[in-house]
Amino acid sequence: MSCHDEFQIEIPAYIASRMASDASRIMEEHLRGCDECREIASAWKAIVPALREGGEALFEEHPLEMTLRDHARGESRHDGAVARHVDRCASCELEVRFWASRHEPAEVRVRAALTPSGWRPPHAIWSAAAGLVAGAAMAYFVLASGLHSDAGRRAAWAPPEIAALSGRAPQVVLPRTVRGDGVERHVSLGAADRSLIIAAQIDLPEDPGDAGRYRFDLRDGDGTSVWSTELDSGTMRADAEANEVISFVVPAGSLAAGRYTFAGGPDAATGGFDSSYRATIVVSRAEN
Amino acid sequence: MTIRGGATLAYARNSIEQRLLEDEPQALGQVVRWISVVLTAPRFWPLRAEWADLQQETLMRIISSLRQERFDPSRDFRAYAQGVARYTALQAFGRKRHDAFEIAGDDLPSPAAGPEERAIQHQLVRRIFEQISEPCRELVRLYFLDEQDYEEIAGRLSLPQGTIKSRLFRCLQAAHRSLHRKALSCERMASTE
Repeated sequence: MSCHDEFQIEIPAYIASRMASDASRIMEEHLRGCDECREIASAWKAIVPALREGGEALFEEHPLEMTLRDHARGESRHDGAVARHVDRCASCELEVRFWASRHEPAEVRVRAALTPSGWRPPHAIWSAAAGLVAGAAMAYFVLASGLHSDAGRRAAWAPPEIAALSGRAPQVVLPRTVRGDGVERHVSLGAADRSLIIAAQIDLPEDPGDAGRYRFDLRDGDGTSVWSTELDSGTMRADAEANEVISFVVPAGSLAAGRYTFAGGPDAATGGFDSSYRATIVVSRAEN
Repeated sequence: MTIRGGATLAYARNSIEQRLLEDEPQALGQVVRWISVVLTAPRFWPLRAEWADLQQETLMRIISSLRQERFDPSRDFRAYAQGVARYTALQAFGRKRHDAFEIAGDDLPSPAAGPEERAIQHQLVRRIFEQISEPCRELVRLYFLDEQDYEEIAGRLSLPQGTIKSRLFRCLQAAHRSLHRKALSCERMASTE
């Protein structure tokens, strides 16, 4: 064993500060003249304190993917241990952020459709969508099964947040409006898009006791209704208060390129439905 | 179904590609993990403020590619997905013209650094331990974390003390080389941008 080798095997003890002071001084003299030993000792001198501070968590296996998903939802049974791990593991933290983002409005995606005034839905737009359009979604599922003969190759209907994530559901965000103010938004639908999500900021009457129903529809240029839905005001109010928007899923298959009027409002005293909310959506069809 | 180069490209039922297209959570979780591991590699630490966006961008690209059947199912999907993640991160580097060496190799933040730097230290240390062999991990753990001495470790592993000492040093050396290779790989990446 050479002199250099003898120094090398003592480097762990030097890094761990377990050498006697005389031996440590001799080691430091060697390090001053030996680049290789100095680099290793210097790197590990920085690593060891972090190792001690990180402790056992640095040696743990990563939690399973679904455990991190549950943790993001606050449903993990091992939350303390998972939280400790996530705190020290960047990749797991990133996974948790991904799962958490699926319960939020996916602001990055929505931002692209913001109005010039800068309004944007704050949080949980997709949970609102999921809650409000469950009936529409079920109807669409049945409808889509009939519309698409290649359903076996395509994904089954997924909740809006999943559909949006995979790019399958374009969305259009409609700002707060009053009748006739000419709000117009454009959206492009591809052949593979199975639904269009309309997120509208709709003012509801002040009276919290109102239990009426609302009707919304989408009419083409000829005034023919291509889609409609009815919602009760209590459900709408709860979701609007939580999310500031009401979301609707419209089957994309029923929308050819063209101008559509999205309108709706409460059940009027006359027996019909008011259309106090009105906006124009211009649909274009992408080639592929 | 797309025919390309005479081959039929379709994703087998229950394959991860098909399950990802169907938004099956476990498949999604698996792919998100692959992406996350790449994006949080030390070389991409300068991009950490953008990780979540890059993660989404990568996932979108992968799904878009699958939907257009551009991915050949005979290839390794994990390698492909991680390649897309690396490419996406490198593009982000290009956009930022950021210094890839901000956190590289043995330039670890000092122990007296703030919370952010300490978090980085923890991540890097974890990465180092993931890259060294299991026997090395065990040795490092016993010596530095459990603070056992050579005699105790030798007794535990039924090996001579001299062997333990030389093995432990070789483990430190191997980890250091691994860090160094990463730094060089960063340098190459930066120079090709």
